[in-house]
Amino acid sequence: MTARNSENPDTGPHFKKVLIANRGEIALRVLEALHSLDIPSVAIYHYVDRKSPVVQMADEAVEIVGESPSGAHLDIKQIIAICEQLGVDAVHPCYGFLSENAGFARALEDKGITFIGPSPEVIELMGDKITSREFVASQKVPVPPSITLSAGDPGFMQSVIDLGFPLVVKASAGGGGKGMSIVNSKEELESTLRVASSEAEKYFGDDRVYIERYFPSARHIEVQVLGDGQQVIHLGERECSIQRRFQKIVEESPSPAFSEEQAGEKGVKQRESICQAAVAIASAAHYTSAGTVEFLYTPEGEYFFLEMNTRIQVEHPVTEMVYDVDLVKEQIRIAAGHPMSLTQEAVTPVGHAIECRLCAEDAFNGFMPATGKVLLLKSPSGEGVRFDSGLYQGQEITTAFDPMLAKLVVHAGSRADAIGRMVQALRELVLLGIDTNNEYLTRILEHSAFASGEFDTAFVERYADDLVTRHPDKGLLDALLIAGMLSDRNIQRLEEATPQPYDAIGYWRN
Amino acid sequence: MQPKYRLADRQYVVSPLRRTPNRIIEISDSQSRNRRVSADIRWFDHVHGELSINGVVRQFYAVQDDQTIHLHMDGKVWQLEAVDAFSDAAGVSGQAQSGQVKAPMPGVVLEITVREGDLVEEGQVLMLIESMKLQMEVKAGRAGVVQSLGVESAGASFDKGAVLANIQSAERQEPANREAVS
Repeated sequence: MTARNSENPDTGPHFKKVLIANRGEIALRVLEALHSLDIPSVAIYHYVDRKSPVVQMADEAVEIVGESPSGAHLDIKQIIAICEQLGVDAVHPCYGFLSENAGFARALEDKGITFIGPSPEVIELMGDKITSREFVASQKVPVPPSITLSAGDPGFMQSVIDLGFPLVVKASAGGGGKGMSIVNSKEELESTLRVASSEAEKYFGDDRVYIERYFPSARHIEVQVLGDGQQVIHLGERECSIQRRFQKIVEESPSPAFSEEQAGEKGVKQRESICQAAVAIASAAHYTSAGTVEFLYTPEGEYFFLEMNTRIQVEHPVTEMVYDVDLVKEQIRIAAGHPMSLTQEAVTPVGHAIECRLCAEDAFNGFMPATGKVLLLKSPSGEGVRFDSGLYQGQEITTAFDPMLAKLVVHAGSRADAIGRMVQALRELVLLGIDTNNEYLTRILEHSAFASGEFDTAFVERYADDLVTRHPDKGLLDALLIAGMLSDRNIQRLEEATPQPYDAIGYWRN
Repeated sequence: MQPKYRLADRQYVVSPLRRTPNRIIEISDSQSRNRRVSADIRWFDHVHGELSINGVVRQFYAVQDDQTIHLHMDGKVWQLEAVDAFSDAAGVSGQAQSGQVKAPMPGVVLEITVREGDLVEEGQVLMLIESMKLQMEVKAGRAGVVQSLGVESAGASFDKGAVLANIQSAERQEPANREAVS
């Protein structure tokens, strides 16, 4: 099977055996790519995940242990020992966990095992937000105005005032929306710096923080890049402004910010400019494998570098659907020393794709994480519908892992059609036994501000009053009550026990 | 037998009156509004059915977990809680007259939202308890003052019949209280 945009068919050896160092939907996604390349696979899993699909379907599966399920997935020594025992010659880290851990990449390299991703040096460069900023600035790509002085330096306070409020304090080793605090005034600054620093130490093992101008009303636009050592190409942008708690919940490609309606003729130029900036950064870093460069895009049409993620991203499917490519397969090819199967001229976007992240939470009540069990799961299907999930019936959903359960991705010829397709798919998805943000996502997709494409990262807050649950009308209410009662096993048992003739004489009334 | 269910903070009685030749179900809500509905149900399998009411056909999925019936209908999910005889008949709210709020069965306190001496309104939530895997709000049956609390804090367990709180009605206060207030 050759993707529409690839020039060369998949030939040549890749790896003897690849270990998937992750879990859930992304582990299953990577397994699919390995299957399609006929590469033997190894899944690692914590006891709580023993029944998950990736464990059932991988060629081999090994249990990992740790103080917590997440802890087990971060145990470098244990994972490498498993690789050595099983003759694994490559590891795919997916996203999260050890995917951006340069120490892990190096430790694998030392054992002659390939880390499917960029080099440890590039991971370190881009993983440190201060050094990555400096590197990008040296490439003449705009970065947000910031302060590089320390709190104790003279002139610090003046720098802060010159920068202007609101500000954001960011952890240097943070990322993915974590380790950020907004500061609205001089009075808040001192305590915020202190708290941010100690939290950074606690969560990222690095207490360094820096201060940037905060843009309360901007768009988050990122560019997918791919490098193989010979060339670096881009696969367009993704719009990721729909966020809650700095975490993305709806993503799409292409971004409506560059559409003709919003940007007129300039739109095409803006898109080209931001994509080329991403390629310039990745090229200068000699980037190999898949990566994403994230930008802030202001209403005035300016963009600033935010960070670079040196891994496959959660929202990669929207790019895959628009460009008809398999990014994970490309990662594996490139890691095995093959050139990518794409060229910049040949990759052409078609249509529009949207992704919704299904999360275990009570979205209408402060997004409180929810726990429960997957009692029934029926995934939506059909043309242009993709459901990336590692869910299985009977699965216990606990707070052990990230609340994201699955990704629902749709593709259609136009943005309007994609929105319609997504709303239908969200309604078709049946997931019983755990609170999810399904209805909340539907509210977002149905909102006029989403439909118009004119929104920014403040969307969720700005329209909070509109993003509320809907109460059933009387007809639906009766239907719910009756369906519920007739589904009640206690009622069903009594019905079965009641002889027929008595049905008609009001036997039930007390 | 009157099956009771709670849906989004409202309680309903959903009584099957007749099954053949067609189903008639009577629904009444807390305001004692009754209506009789003629319905037809078809099952595709044990979780997937189709309900027909007055010509409107709706497909649904349903799974039961203990006291909760999880439903998927009209593009979203809903939860119906079966209200069983214990939690309703003994009625944490059923002791309105006595001022003593007693536990209908053994359980544990999750959260206490009032303090001794607080003025409370009828229906105000006094505490959140968990009893037989069901979380319940314990409400004041009448307006008054929280004279005493029978449990100390979250995590405290209690037996069936234990006095959880004592509400003294605002009109009739113990002399000691009146002194304290003035």
